[in-house]
Amino acid sequence: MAYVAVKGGEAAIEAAHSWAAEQRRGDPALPALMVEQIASQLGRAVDRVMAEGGLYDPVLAALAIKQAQGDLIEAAFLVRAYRATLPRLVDAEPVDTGAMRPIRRISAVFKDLPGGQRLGPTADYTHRLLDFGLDDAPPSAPQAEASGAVMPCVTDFLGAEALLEPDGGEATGGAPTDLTMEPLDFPAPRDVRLQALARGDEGFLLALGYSTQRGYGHNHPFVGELRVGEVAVTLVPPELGFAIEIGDITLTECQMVNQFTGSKAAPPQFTRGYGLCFGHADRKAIAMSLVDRAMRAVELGEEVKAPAQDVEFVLSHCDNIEATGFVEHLKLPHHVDFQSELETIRAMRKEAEDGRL
Amino acid sequence: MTLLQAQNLHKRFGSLEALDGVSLSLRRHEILAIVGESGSGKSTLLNVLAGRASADEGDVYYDRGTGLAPLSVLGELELRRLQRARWGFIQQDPRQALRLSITAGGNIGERLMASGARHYGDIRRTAAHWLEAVEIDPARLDDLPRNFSGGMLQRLQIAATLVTGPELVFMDEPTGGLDVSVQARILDLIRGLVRRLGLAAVLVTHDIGVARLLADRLVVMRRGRIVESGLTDQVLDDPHHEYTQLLVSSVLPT
Amino acid sequence: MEGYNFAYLDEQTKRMIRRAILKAVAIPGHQIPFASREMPLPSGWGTGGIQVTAAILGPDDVLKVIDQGADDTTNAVSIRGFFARTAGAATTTRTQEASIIQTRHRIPETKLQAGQIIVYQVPMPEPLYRLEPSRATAARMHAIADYGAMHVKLYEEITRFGRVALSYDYPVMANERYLMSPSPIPAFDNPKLDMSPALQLFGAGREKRIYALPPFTRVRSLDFEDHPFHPGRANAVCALCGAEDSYLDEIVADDQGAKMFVCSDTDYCDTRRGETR
Repeated sequence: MAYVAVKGGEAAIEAAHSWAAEQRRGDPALPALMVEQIASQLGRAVDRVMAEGGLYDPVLAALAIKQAQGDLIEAAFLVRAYRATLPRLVDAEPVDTGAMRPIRRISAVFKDLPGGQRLGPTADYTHRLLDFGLDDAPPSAPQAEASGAVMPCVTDFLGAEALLEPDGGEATGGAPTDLTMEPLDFPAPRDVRLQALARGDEGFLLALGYSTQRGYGHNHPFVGELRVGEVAVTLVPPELGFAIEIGDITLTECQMVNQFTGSKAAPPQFTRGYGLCFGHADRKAIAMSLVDRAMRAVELGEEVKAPAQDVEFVLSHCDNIEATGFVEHLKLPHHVDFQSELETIRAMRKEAEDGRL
Repeated sequence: MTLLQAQNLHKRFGSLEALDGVSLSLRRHEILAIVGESGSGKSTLLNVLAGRASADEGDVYYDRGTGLAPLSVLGELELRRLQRARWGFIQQDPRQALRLSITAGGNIGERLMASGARHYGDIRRTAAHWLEAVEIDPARLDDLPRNFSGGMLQRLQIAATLVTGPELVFMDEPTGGLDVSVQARILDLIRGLVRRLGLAAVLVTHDIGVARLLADRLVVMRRGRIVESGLTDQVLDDPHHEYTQLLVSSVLPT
Repeated sequence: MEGYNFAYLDEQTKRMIRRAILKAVAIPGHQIPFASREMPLPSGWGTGGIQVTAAILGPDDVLKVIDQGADDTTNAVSIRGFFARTAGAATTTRTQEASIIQTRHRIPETKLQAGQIIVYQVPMPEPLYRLEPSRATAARMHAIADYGAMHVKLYEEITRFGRVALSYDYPVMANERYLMSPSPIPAFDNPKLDMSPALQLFGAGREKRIYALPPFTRVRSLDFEDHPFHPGRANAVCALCGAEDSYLDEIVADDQGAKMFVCSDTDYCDTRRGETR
C-alpha cells in the first residue's frame, strides 16, 4: 500500500485545543467556577501563582488558575507571559515591612516580645483530618479589638546589642539588578539571588531548604520573625516629585537568625537569611530564607559542599517555568536526531559483528 | 642562561605574610628545591612562580627565547598556552590532576590534544611510549585510572605532564602522598627523566632527602622568607643559618 | 493582533536583540548573553529562535518554519501561526522563496543563497555542557581556547567504540577560534554550515544566548586526521522521490516492523516529485 505522508498538523492542534477547553470546563451541568470564587476561596493557590508569576494581581492569578485547570505552574506561566507585555512605567520605592500591619507575627527565638505572638489566620495547629462537612455551617471567628500595638522587628532587638549582623551589609547603593531585564551572570550578587528565589519554585526551594536542615550545608537556623500582613506600595511620580501611596499588597516575610561567625579577635555575631514573597506563604518564605543563607557561604567564609550552597546550581534551576519548558520539550519530535543515533548504533553493532567473524 | 626569575615577591593572606620579599632565579636545565616546613610559604611561592596565583608585589620573569619578560604582561591566553605545553606542574595528589573516568591514554593525550595534536594513532603511540617510560605496562593504555594504585597514578601524572616536552616543570611534593616503599622508585624515575630530558625544575619539598637526591641548588624558606640558598650539598653539609642547621639536624640518619 | 506590536515584541526589546545579533555576527561562534523575554510559548520550545526571528522580521519578509525538516510538524505549525497572527507575515513552505527560515534540528537540503537568513532553535548553546555543567567555568574555557577536554572526549569514544559516537549536535570550530554547538542537527547536516552564503543565526531563549555565523565562515567539525568526520545517513533511498543524497526519516510501515525511508525535508521531496503546496 502506498505510503501517504502524514499531514494535517494544524487541524490536529486545533482539535486538541478544543478538547482541552472542554475538559477544562468540565461537566456542563455544573456551574462554571467564577474567577472571584477562586480569588476568594483558593487564596494559597493565588498567592503562589502571583509569587512565581512575578506579578501582584490576585484576580489575574485566579483567572490563570481557572484557565490552567488548576495546574499552578502553567498558571504562573500565563501570568509571566502577560507580565512581559505590560509597559514598565516607574519603579516603586522599597516597601517598609517594619511598617507592616501584621495579621500574623510569630517569633521562635523569644517566648514573648513587644506586640506579642500573634497566630493570625493559620492552620498550623489544626489536626489534619479531612472534613467531610466542610462549609455545612458558615465559620465564625471570635472578634477582638484591633490593639494597634507596636510590633518592632525582632532583628532590631538583636541588632541593638550588635548580636546580629547588620541588614544588607553588602548593599552597593545603586539600583538593584532586575533579572527580568538582564541575563543571569555569575558571580551573582545578593539582590539577584533574592529576586530569583522570590520568583523561584516553592517545591524546589522547599527541598533545598530541607536539605540544609538535614546536614547538607547546615546553618543553625532559628526563625527570628515571621510576619504576614499588608504593606503600602509607594512611588514617586516624576511629575509630582514626592511619594504617593498607590495601594497595599500582602507580603510574607521571614527573618532567619543563623549560625554565628567570628572568633576570639572578631566579636561573634549571628548571621541572617531572608525570605520575602507575595501573599500568605509561610513555607515559601521560610524555605527561601534557608536557601538565601546557604548561598552566602562564600561571603561568610564557609566551605561550599552542598547543593543549596552552590549559587549557580540553585539559580539555574529554581525557575519552574524554564524548567517545565525544557523538561516537557522532550515531548516534541526528536526523530531526526534519533535516526542519527539509530544509524550510528547499527553501524557500531555491525562493525563489532564483522570483527567477531 | 637564566630561565625563570622572581623579584621581591610579596603576598599576604589577611594579616599573614605568606611571601615576604622573595627573590630567586633558575637556570636552564637546573633543578632547584624549595625546602621548608609547612606554613613556610613554599607552596605559595611555587604557585606564584607557575602563574597559578599572583603576587601582591613583585614580579616573575620568564625567558621564552627572547630574553626575560614579566609574566604579568603576557596575558591570560598566552600564559595558559605556556602552562599547557612548555611548562608542566606535578601535583602532590595525582587524583586532583588526572581525570579518573578517562583512560590512561586519554589522560596522557590531553595536553597533546590541547596543543593541537590531531592524529589519533600518533597520540596513542606517544601515550603508549610514555607509559613505558614511567614503567607502566603499555597494555594498560585503555584502562581507567580509577583502579590504579597511588604510585601508578603518580607515574601517570608524570607521563601526562612530560608528554609535551616541557622545558620547565614545577613539582609540589611529588612523592608526598605515597608509601615510603614507593617513594624511592618514583624519585628515581623523576631523577632519570629530568636528567635525560634536560628539564629545568622547581621542586617544593619538606623532605631534605628528596632535595639532596634531585636538586642542584636549594633555597630554605621560613615564614615567607628565604633564609639560606646555595648548592644543595654545600648548604646541607655546611648550613650557615641556624634554622637550616635545625632542619638538617632534625633529619633522622638513614 | 490587537494591542501587540508587530511580531509581538516591543521595539526596545527588538533593538536589544539586534544589538546582541550584531555582536554575535562580529565574533563568529561566540555566545552573546541577552535578556531573553518571557514568550507565550514555553521556553525550550523555540523561544530563542522566535525572538531572533521577531527582531529581524520586516513587512516584506517571507517566512518558512520547519521542525525535523518538515513544515507541518506540530511545533512548526504553531510557530508559523504565531508569526502569521502577530505580524501578518507572508509564509511559505518553499525554501527557495523564503527570506527567513526558522528551523529546529535540520538544515534544508536545498542550498541556501546569499540574502537568506536561517534562524536555528537551540536548546543548549554551550557545547561543553556535558563535560562542564558550570556555565561560568565553560565561559573561561572559551576565553582561553581551552578545548582539550572536548578532544579527549572524542578520543575516548574512538577508543571505546572504534568511532566517534556523537551523531547530532556535533561540535564544530567556528572561524578556527570558537567551539560551537550547531544545535541538534544531525551530523549529516554539519557540512552545510561551512562557507554558506546565507547568514546563520542561533537563538537559545531559555539559556539566554545568541550566536551567529556570518556568510562564508569557515566551520569545521572536530575530528582526527586518521578518523575524519563522517556525516552519516541511512543507507537507503527515499521511497517517495528516489533521492539518494537527502537525510531520511525511518517510518515503521506495519506490525511486522517493515521499514521505509522518506525524505525528512518535505519541501525538497515535494519539489522533486513536482508537487507544490
